[in-house]
Amino acid sequence: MGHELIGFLFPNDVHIHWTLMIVLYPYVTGLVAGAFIVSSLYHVFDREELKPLGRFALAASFCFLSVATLPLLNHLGHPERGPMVVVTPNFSSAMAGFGILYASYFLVVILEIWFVFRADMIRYAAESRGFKRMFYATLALGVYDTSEEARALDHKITRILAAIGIPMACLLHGYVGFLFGALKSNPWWSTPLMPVIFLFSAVVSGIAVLIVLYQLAMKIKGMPIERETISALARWLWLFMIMSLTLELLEIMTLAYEKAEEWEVIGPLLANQLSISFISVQMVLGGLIPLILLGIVVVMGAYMDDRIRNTLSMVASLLLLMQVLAMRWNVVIGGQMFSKSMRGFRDTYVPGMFEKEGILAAAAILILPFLLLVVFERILPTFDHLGQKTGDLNLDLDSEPRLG
Amino acid sequence: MEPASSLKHTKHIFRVSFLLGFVLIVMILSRGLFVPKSWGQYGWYRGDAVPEHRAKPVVHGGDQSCRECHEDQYDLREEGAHVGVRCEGCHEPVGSHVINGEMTAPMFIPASFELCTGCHRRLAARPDDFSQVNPQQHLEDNEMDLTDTVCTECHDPHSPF
Amino acid sequence: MNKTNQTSTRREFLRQSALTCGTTVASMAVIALILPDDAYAAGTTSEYDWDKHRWVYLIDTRKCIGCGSCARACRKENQVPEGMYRTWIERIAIPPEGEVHVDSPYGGEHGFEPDPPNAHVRKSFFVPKLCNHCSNTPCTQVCPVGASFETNDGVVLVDPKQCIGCGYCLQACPYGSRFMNPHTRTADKCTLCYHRITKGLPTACVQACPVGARQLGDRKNPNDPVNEILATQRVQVLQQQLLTKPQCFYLGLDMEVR
Repeated sequence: MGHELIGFLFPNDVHIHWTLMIVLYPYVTGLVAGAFIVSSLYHVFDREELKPLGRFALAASFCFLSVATLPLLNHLGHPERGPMVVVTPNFSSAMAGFGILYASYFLVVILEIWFVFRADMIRYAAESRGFKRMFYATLALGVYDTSEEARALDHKITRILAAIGIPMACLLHGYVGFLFGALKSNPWWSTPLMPVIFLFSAVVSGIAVLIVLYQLAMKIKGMPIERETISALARWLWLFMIMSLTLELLEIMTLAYEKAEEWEVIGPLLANQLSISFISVQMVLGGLIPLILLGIVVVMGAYMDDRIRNTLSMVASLLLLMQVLAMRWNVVIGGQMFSKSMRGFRDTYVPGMFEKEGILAAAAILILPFLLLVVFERILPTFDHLGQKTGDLNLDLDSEPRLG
Repeated sequence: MEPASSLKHTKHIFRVSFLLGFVLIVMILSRGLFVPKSWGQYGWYRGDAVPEHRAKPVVHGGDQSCRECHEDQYDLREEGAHVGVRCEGCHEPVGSHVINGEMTAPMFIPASFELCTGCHRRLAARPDDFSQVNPQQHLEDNEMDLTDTVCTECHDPHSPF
Repeated sequence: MNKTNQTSTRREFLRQSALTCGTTVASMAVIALILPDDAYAAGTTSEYDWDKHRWVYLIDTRKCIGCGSCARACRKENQVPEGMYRTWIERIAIPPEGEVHVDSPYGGEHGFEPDPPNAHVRKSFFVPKLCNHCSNTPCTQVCPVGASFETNDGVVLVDPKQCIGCGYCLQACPYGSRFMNPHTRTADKCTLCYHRITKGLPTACVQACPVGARQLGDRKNPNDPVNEILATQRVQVLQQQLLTKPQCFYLGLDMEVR
């Protein structure tokens, strides 16, 4: 125990119950919600400039969603009882909705993926032999209808699912914020702004991770990075990060200005325990700097060399990814750095490297969705259809999907 | 592997809906298997949890159980200032000493300086009318040296003064 | 340092004896030893009707001497793991000016350090704490799987066989009454000695208190002395602005107590 206690803490309050895993959980679901919303901007609102990302964003959302429960399960004292959340859900608990919300969102994402990629699955099945053919045939559920009418129907359903998915993504993530915001016991969490803050920062992290992944994927595949796509993403990112930062600041300002009893702990908390992770990382390094960088991209975009635009938005995105992680940390860990006696603090919290919920486990969980994405890309390539449109109606001659 | 009937191009939609419905029904039906037996007996919780809590072993027996064998000490205490102090407060729970009327282990005799001052050291937070001393001062006044059993040299813990 | 050594050997002994108790005591064995003339032995053992009781708790801070007997008894009675507290005692010292000083070393279980020689605080007192068994409880509200519940006689319990160990209830309790039991990996808290009070016995802490600062009451028993106090005297609850409706009432509380 390398930490010290300052002031008086309730004797049961000296532990950090919600660890790095609970920091990761809203981070990962945030990436899910953000990526999905980008995908829906194309599928529902026909933002043509986002077309290159329509499928990829959906795939990314799916991969993040697949690992979203892992940090939770790893944190539970009894992960084997985890399914009880859907077997005997206590609906007076904000947490009980999780199972149902998560499952139905998962369903929407899987269905949308199926309808988007159905024609591809059939094509891959037709192009291959043996096990591979069987695999794609099973994925297509044994129906090989790629007629104009069927595809039109697919398109329609995709649009509906993507539209349903937007409020569901907002719900899933707003709900994560609600988990914290609805606890009257904790002055650092208890604010109706919390779900909104979580939601906006989720969209920020989702767009940011797509800017990074899109540029990487294009480099790996040797495909051109579309100027319109990056410009559009940067614009959206700038808008959402401004709203996100405003809300985050608004919360603090209100508390500080009201000088309510909460400020007695939150003031010292921000000044001491969270001075680096909140002020330096969340506000300056991850907030102010990307605000300026993206501002340059948005305002001067027309006169800018593609490489500069790409680099600036890449750097801003990486900083924002860090900013959102810092924000999750500051909420989850920050809320446990003081005792509910409102008279005492821990001085620090440093997660261990090798412990069950430590840094290594967190890193593994964070890397996993990207590995999944590589696998997904191998099974159902998300960029190949782009070449198709320009190259007339012909099928891709190269049936082996390429990556890396 | 020719495309199936293209009269109605909705076959794949029916198939995926059927699959989905099937999974949902299986999930809803199998839920019953996992709900604990006594669930909902009294409320949205496992009813058996209540008798399970009730069935936990009682460890502190209370003064009356000590009296069965130690009536002398019991009566002595009844008459003195320690009438409110429980036997098991200074000693140990009866469950560590007697089981089913058979003595399983000797009882702990704690008469230490630490134990007495735990209640009777003068502290600002203690009620003024509670009997308390400054231990150093009290020993000096009575010209005694600090040993672990110094208190019981003058005071009988079962009936002090 | 000398004191820590003494307490640590003493604690070692206590821990060992608590372990022996926990593992070997059969409940019936001890009950058989209890005479029925105990103050609470009205309707003992199996014939317990929870609709005929409504348990409340009363703490008179003006009587508490901060000896820690209650916390020690609780640990032994309920095999509470070291470092975790189902009940604890706080010492509040309020000087006329400046910072309020609160301490609770080891939850007050081994008593309190002597006052610092230069302390001239005239308002100082002990406040025992435990689960408030709120009737508008935030902790059972947030349990996602129904592992935490309120019994019909007003006691908030955790079902250790149902608890998934998410820790949400620990975050929701404004009083710090809950902890994660490292052995069972489930949430744990004061049960108001449910295994005792349903057999007509007082809770271990009430029984252990030498000065009667802690009292167990039954709202549905018209002759209960606690009811008389609640009916006639001015009582307070902790953090009442949170509207959790605690069923643990205090006499002689100060506004500085949280």
